[in-house]
Amino acid sequence: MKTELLAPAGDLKRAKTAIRYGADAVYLGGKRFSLRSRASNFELADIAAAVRFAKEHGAKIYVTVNMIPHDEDLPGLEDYLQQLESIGVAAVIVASVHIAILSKKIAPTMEVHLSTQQSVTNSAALRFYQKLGVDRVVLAREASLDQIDTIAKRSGCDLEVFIHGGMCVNYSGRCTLSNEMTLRDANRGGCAQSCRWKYRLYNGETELSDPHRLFSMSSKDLIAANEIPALLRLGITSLKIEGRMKSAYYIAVVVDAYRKLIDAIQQGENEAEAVENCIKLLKKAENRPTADGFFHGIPHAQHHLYGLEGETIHQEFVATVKDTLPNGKVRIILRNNLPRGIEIEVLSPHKEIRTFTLHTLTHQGVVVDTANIPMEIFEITVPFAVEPGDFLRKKGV
Amino acid sequence: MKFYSILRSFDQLSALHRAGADGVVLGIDRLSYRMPKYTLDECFDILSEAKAYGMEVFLSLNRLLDEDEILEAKSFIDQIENHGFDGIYFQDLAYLDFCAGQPMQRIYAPEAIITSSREVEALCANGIDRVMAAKELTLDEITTMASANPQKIDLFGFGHLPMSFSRRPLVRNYLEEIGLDLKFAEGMELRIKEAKRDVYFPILEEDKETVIFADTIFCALNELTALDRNGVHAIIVDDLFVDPKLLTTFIRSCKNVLNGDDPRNELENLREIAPELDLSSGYFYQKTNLTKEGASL
Repeated sequence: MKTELLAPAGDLKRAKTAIRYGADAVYLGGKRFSLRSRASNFELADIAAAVRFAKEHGAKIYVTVNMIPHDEDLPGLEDYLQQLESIGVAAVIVASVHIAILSKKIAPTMEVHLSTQQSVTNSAALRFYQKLGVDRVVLAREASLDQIDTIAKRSGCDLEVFIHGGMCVNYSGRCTLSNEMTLRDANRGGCAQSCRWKYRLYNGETELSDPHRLFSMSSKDLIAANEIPALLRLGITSLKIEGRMKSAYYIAVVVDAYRKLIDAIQQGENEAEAVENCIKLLKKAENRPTADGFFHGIPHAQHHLYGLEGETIHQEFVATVKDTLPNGKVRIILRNNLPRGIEIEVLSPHKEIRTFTLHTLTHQGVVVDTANIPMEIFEITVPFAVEPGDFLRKKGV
Repeated sequence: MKFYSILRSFDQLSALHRAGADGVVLGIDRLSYRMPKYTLDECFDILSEAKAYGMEVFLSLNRLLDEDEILEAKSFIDQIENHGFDGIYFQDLAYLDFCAGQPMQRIYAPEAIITSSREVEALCANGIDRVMAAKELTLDEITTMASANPQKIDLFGFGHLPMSFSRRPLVRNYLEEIGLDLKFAEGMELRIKEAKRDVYFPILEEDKETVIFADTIFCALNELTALDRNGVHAIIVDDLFVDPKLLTTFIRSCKNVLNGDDPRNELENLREIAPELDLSSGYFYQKTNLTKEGASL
């Protein structure tokens, strides 16, 4: 069985990017019934377009219907599920038993995948959902590799495991910190990430916390490059990347890195070298500091972010290819400062990273030394073929 | 409507009976968290005495189980079979599998995820006898859910509401980070204060979970008649971080309110015991459906 690489997308452009860079399936959210409401930019027509693009490339689209609904949220749900089925969505990801049962009943050709919001941590709990007809279970992030192995063997169910991205520090779905702190319901897409705030810790009236390094629950992001070989051997159905709010560049880098790793292992290449290469590629994305989550046991202090270390924003991503012209000319959409004379790396789907030195740079026909107007179109010369949507970044930053 | 109390010590049992509690809820070492932990023999002793009082006895097996813990949990359920426990509160659906065929009420009590009438209906059609409704519901939402599913919903009614729970040892990890003695993590007076606000949240760390609680004491006394009228089955009360005397007073007050007394007078009784009592109505009158754009941080 081929293991699926599953990527997130916050809009159609990012869905296409994920598929071009090697995702076997993409999950995305509509305007309603989905968590990450701010990341859900898909109208039904956009979802249909994503489905068409995915089918053309042999990929699948899953739609998150993963809010934990209150009664007032439910009107329109049945129509929505049937519409998703009619446009060819392969599966819905749900966090409600009611929605799981309803979807199987009224949209039977769509698979139902149980969200990690239900915090399934063992094979006996999983059986409850199997009896309901759930096709796949996204395991809780709290499961270790050994536990995942046993769950896989005992359940015989299709399993999905998170391999990369942000981590809830609490059991997903069981946290109301955001409700308490900001009146925003995490289970309905409003999570304010109050766990990442700074707190003072007291024992009675005595402060224990270090004022220069306050208490926080903030978790480092997950990285599972080292664990991919084991997950592939376990026959896990789907390896999932988190981050529907992440940029197209981030998605391209992360999907590309894991795609190359999975392919290398499946083709029998040297695992250690493939893992090392994957980690090197992942470092080009704007991650928070990363750790291995629960894969090897309960996280320790070094799995948390106590200081000011937030997301690392690299300035190395400089442009995307808009289109190509004759004679190696390429029009790019600028994203970050780009001086002439530097070495550029090109990130293209299913290709090794290629480099060139930027000798020509023009703006509206005028030669410039530096491109520095974000989202403006510049023209450069590239000594090899590139495609629209390819990413350019500075080498060695 | 029934009133079930977490039993934090055997000594409380007779007082709770006299106050009018219909039942008690016990925790078990390794299978429960934020609960008093009893051995199986102690549970049998409590069961015997409680039954003599005519009270119901429940076990709260509320941990989410790792794969390597499910045999232990199943074995525990086998050991209590036919001993007369009235039911179990659980948040891991593995227990449904373990309890199959046993004459016990199965009450699904996840921390936050039962928020609609349809969810209750779906769960109760699939082997669950009752559910604990989520705490982040308004009174209108709860009464709607209860009237659509009469006697299928239990509700937390008094005590510090748990806000989050983590599988990580959040306090120990932090103490390790700043080089303090890890023994501090065992304290019962640990609190966290968000850097920008003057509110202290109790935090409790056990072997396998860390729980953060709301700062105020949730009290459903004012809403009791509406909850009863709409078919809520039971109110659960808990004195964690609270003077135990408040618990018995609260239960007496509840009984009085259901017999027609004014809840405002009963609240005064509570305040006589604890004048600085910071009571709250939780989310009964406060929706939590703001978006980032609508929230004032």
